[in-house]
Amino acid sequence: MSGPLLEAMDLYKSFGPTPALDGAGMSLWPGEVVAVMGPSGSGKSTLLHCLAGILRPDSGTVSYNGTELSALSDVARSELRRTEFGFVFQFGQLVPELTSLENVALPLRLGGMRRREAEQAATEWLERLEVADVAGKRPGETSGGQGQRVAVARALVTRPKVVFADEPTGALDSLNGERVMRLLVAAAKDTTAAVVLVTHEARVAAYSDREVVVRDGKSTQVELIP
Amino acid sequence: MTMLRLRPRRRLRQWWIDLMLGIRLAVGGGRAGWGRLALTAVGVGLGVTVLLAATSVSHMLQARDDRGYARAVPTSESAKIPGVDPVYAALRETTFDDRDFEGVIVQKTGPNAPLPPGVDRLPDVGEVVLSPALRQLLDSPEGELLRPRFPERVVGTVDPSGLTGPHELFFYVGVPDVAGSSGSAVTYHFGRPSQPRYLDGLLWLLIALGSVALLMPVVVFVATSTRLAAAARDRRLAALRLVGADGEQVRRIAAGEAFVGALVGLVVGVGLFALGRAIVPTLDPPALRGGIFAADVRPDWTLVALILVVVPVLAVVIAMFSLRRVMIEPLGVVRRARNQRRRLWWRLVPPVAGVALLASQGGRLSQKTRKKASNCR
Repeated sequence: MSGPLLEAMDLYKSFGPTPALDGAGMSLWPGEVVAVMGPSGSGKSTLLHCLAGILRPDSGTVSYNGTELSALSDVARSELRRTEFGFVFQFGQLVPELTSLENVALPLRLGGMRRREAEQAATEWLERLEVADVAGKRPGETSGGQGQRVAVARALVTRPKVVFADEPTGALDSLNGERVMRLLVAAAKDTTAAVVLVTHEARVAAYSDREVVVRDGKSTQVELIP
Repeated sequence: MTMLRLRPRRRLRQWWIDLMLGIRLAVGGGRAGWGRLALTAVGVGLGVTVLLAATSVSHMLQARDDRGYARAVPTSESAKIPGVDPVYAALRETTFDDRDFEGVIVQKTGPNAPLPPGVDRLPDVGEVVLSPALRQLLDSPEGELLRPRFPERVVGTVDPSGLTGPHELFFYVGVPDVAGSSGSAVTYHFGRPSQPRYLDGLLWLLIALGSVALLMPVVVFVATSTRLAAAARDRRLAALRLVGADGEQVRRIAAGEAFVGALVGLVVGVGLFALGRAIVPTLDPPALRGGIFAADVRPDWTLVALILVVVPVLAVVIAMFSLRRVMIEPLGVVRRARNQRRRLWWRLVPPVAGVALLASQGGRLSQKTRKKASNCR
């Protein structure tokens, strides 16, 4: 592949009168981990949502593998989220009614995979993320750290090309945060998934290969770590 | 990146998976989930009970009528039946303590007398056959003043096939001079051909209004429980969108959830109806003299089949309808805030229909009232 995996250019997005993105852009190459940093309210989460095709920018382009995301139908974008992307958010991404095992198997089941195969793959990922012991528990019955590791397992179970992580350690203590980050980055590297990591914590950003800083809706690609 | 259209077989499997996922979500929510399911099931169940009861009314009245016709004394002399000794019989009505009694005085002319339904043997002179309710009344302290009116020897009990209801006060008494009493007839059999009961418009109207009145709180109950559960459902569906469920899949999953509530509601409704059916014989409503046998409360099976199909389908349609102005996105639920003009016409349909129904029966209602008033005079 000659170009970036994901590329956003000149993104503008407002929520009512409040501008969230004001010409932001960034690119993501296969297998790299990019930290999107910036103060609260700077627009970094909005940038991530636009990159993932969850939000449509008011103007500007986001292309994935050369395909413009805003040109895709809802079904196509859903399939993209299910097969090519993975998500780890700070809160609320696990379905509270389902067990950890069912949550991890969910993207595979939504893609039509048979239960046994889907749960087998989910079990492998739960083991890999060191949370096999909570496979039968619902999210409300696990700790925050376990819940985030289950979310990481779910994000990676389809072997996505890109993992979007929005403040994945925001609700965890430092020890659990380190553990989640270590496992997330290691698993992503193993599967050659690129990671877009939104954070405002320098110690979390330290896991990235390079950083993009967002301030007042504008982005700056600051450094490339060799 | 390739977006392939699913093959029909795979699409069918995906539909199945989505519906099953909806069912799993409906029953897997722990205590809160079970609470939601219970609320929906109770609401739907009450609705189903009311519908089943309403569909039973026609059969219940017809069954009572049929047994009444089967024991009726013919009003004119009936044709001879070889080998049967005719009976002189006359209907008698009386009251005791504001309670109506009915019975037949009989005089046999030979050993081969015809038998009315529910009776093993026709009483001879000085003997009486009683309904269980009348027998119980006579045996109780309450019946002390009534006992002198039944000095005859009790030789049997009328079984349910000869009674309109379990609390009916009915008797057959053997007396020596029926032939000379008023209204008597000589007959070789009991019973007149049964007339099919066509519920008149007024009765149907009352049944419809009663059902609507009973269903109204049920509808409010279901709507409230649905609204209470909506926030949790929205969060759940948004989480599914995030991991790649498309809009159609989310709707199918919501349909699966609604289907479970309706299905459990059906079971609850059938259970409540069975319970009500078991309780019915203990009641003695003044409007149905003699009460109701449980066996008479039998819904029309075609309508039952219709209810069993329509209720889950309706629940699914309502679930779909509730999502019509909702866009479930991965980050949450967006309600389409487009200001819709409130359409007045469909809100007017129920009151207008009610008024039209009342107006159509108004003449009959006043006719019946006048007739009743003239009977009282």
